[in-house]
Amino acid sequence: MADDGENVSVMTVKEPLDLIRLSLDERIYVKMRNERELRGKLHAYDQHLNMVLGDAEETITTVEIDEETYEEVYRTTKRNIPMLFVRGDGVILVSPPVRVGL
Amino acid sequence: MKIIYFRVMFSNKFTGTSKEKFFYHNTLLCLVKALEGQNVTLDLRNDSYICGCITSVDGYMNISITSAVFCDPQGHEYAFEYLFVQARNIRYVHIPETMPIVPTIKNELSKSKGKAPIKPAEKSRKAKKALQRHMQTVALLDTAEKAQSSTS
Repeated sequence: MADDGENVSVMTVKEPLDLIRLSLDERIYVKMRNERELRGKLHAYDQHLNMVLGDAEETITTVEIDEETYEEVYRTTKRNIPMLFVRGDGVILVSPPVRVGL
Repeated sequence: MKIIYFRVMFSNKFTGTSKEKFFYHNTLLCLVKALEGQNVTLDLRNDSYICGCITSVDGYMNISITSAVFCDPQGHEYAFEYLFVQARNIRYVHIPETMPIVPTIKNELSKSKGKAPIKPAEKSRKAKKALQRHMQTVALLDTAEKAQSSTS
């Protein structure tokens, strides 16, 4: 029994996906395609990086060019989704949110 | 053939090619599959979204939806009796808030497991021989008993 307990507590990192396992039940940051970002609690993930995020906040960044000054104007829209299944093919990167600076 | 067909129809087992089965058992596909019969919102890659009741999900996460409302990026709404959504076009699936993730997955996978048919254990040659010998002895005893009772 004691051995089992040790094996559970000491997580082995053999492949990159194991690093994501360290973030289970933590809030993470996910960069998606089409200038979308997600922050949420990682409930589950799989090999395709399909993920289930709880209390997810989606940030969509759009770039508009000012017609007069030709300046690029970044506009972000946010929305909250209580529980979200994210299909893995749209994921670019996954990171613990502390690195993003919140 | 008919019997096999019925068995497929009525069992809870996930049906599909071996590749589809692999995805079902090894990815979060089982969670999407557990959403069958529920009303959900699907966000598509082209910024449109679909609300409706999921009727079935296949091994590639293609989803069929009934009584669907399709909203295009311009905000127009179109009602459809039945929609089939190709997996690649899905960006998000909004999961009902009340659904606990891990128990749902466990429940879904146990559903597909089903009960293995109970097969009588094959006896080894040694055991068969022992049983045969035992039965012979019993028969011998029986006849001896009968013979004894008839003489007395």
